Amino acid sequence: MLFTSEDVLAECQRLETMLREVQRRALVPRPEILSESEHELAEIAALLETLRQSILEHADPSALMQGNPANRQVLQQIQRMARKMKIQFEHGSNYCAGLLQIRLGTGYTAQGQAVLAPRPARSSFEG
Amino acid sequence: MGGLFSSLSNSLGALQAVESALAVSQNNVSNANTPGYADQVAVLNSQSFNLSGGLTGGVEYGGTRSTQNEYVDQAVQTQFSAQGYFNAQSSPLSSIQSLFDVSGQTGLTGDINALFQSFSAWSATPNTTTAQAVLTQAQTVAQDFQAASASLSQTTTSVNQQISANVNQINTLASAIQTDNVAIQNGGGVSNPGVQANLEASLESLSQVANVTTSFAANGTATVLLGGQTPLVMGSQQFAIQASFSGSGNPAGASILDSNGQDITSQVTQGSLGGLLSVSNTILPSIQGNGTQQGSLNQLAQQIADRVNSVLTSAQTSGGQAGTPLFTYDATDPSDVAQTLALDPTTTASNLAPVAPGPPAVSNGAALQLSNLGNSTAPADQIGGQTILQFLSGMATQAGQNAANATAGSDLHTQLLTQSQALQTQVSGVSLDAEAAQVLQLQQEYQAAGKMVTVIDTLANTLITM
Repeated sequence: MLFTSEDVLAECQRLETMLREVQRRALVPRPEILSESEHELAEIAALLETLRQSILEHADPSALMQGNPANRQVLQQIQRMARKMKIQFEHGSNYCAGLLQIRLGTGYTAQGQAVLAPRPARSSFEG
Repeated sequence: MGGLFSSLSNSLGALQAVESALAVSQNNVSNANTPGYADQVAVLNSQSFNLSGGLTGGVEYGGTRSTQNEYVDQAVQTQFSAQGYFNAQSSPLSSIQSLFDVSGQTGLTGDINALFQSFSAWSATPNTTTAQAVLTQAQTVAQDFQAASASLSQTTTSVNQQISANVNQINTLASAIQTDNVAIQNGGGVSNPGVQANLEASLESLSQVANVTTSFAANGTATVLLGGQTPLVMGSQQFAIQASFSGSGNPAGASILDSNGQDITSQVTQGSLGGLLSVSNTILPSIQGNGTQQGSLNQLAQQIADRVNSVLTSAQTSGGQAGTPLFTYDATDPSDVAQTLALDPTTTASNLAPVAPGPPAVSNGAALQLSNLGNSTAPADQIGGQTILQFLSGMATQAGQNAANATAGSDLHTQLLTQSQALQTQVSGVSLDAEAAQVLQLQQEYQAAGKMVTVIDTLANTLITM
């Protein structure tokens, strides 16, 4: 339970640090790292939701949030980072889609996904 | 015997193939830190197997192929171009931003606010002391306009010098690419990793300066187009471009001309040259004006001068004499107002006229009207539908926004460049089957992570508005 606006600030700053770390690591394009990043992002989302619930349960939510202008600044920074990461992930996804399309594609689905060419079954695994 | 000879010959071919493959591996190791170098993969071709025809199978060395492909290269180059665009804008836009304090406390914006406050003090107590304070503050504002104009001219000069340097850099890099193309042509189809590395490094450097697209001929030579249209290099030919500042505007706009003298400025949209052209031809003229537009700084200076002069020359001194104008400027060139704005030499504290003649005459009517001028919504006092102070605030906000956009754009594209380079490394040198599976998995992970950051964005927004 959070009782003061300083508690809110500390939690927001912790989440900002977590998000910054995910942002840094997600630049490594390896499936296992991106999978870990996704789980950490889910954890950050869950913590933000917990924070929201805690504030709502407080006797004076607006005082808790507006009592310290830094709260809003840190949350805005989190929002900016999230939007930047969204562009980063879209760029990564589009990059991969383009690569698949060039290498293996026969066209696109109505949803814009690359359709890969069916590959014939191999009678041998040699080579 | 033919069969035995074929077998021996085949074994020799296979040995040579393995040695060539080892040489390629050695090349990969020794060139690993060369900028632009991509792994070379030895292509070992199967030979036909038909004993009756003397064909004994085996492998032969079929040269090398680069695993770097045009797609991943172009993705990196696109991010270099975007990053170059914003990086080049950062410095001149920060200079412009520093001229307009968005808080309205310092510099031109602060001094214009102070001028209206001095009018207010004069209207409350119209005497020579408060009139002198008006003159002092008006002098400061005129000097601020002159200084801002001079600073913008300096920025224009600096940006145009950088444009010339960028054009020289493009020509130098195009020359290096042309030299590499000749070396590739002379190589007779045998790939030289050193030349390839030089070529890739030049292409990467070029993409930081301008938006170029590259395609490769069957013999491996690069064709480089500026803006997808204008050739810079085709095989062994180079086409030099040049910068021109001989436009009709004052200051002259920057143009880029192709090797035939045709204007291709509009094709340069990215890279540092694209960013600088945008500052020189769009952002700076919108503030300081040129032959085709007055510029917001001159609009502001003229509106303040004209409205203040109009009120004062319609007014009277307490002794009943006609008022004199406060400001003077060169009216022959609308884009020269800020640079020439000065105090009218005939004006003194004693002939500054505070009385509105009426009827009925109001002893501080003119001074009062001037104190409200900044926020006046009378059509004659406005600039493009905005009050003078709204217009000033809009200029400061726009300058701040431009600078912030350059910084944010640079940050974003630095991140996307890092990602593109990491992806390039990740997919380079992986077999096609493994690559496809990995890339598909990567794409799915990116999409999943993208959905999660959207949730974070929404939750942060909910908290911000609580």
